[in-house]
Amino acid sequence: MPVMENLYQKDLILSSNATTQEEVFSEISQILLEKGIVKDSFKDAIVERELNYPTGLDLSPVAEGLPNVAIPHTETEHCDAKVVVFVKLTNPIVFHSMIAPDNELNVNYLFMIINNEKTNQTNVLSELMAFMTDVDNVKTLEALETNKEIYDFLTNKK
Amino acid sequence: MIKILAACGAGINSSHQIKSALEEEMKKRGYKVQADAVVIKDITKEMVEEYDIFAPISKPKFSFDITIPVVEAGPILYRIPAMSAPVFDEIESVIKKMNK
Repeated sequence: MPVMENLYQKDLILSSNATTQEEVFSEISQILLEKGIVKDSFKDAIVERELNYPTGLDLSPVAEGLPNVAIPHTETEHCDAKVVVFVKLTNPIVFHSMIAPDNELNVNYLFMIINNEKTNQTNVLSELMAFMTDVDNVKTLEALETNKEIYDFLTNKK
Repeated sequence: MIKILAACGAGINSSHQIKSALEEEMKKRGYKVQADAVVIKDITKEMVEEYDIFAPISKPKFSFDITIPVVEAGPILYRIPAMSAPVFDEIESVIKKMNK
């Protein structure tokens, strides 16, 4: 996945002990703001966006027993870079499903898509989907402990 | 020609993926389909009425009634046949009913 490899950054493979969406978005937004990756408006925008257009993805159609993921993202105007921020949630957090918003999912991993290119047509989403709908990828992710290991795996540097 | 309006919440182009997947699969199945991709918040009643089928990522809440057939197309995004086939089948059955 040559496109995705370049979208992950070593310092943006994160983990969080947060227990709510609001908490994890506050924590991560602060980190991204300090790195100049997002604007001040990002945190409120992503919280609201997740309420109106949830991004949880149920991976049970891929295989039974897989953890669920979410792909939070918001409008380009709140972003100053094009990256995917990976967040491992120590405590699963409830997200609503992207394709069936009434359904609640316990989510273990976030792939936050930060994109500041309005006209960009590259398919980060389809690349992520290709990754997540591969059972072996998700199982490997679950087995990895450190952020360094996860980074190496996501960027094929293992 | 069947006109489909694909829609999502903006930011990562999921409606473009719905659009291209629908065009590709319906062509394979022998239908002439043309789809456009828009952001849900830009949709108006007048816009929807120019299409034959509305294919949003998930059931959206509008202040107006959608008067054309609605097929929720989100499962296509998984890009795995078990998820996308039922959506394609539903689109096909809607097209068949139209007798176009």
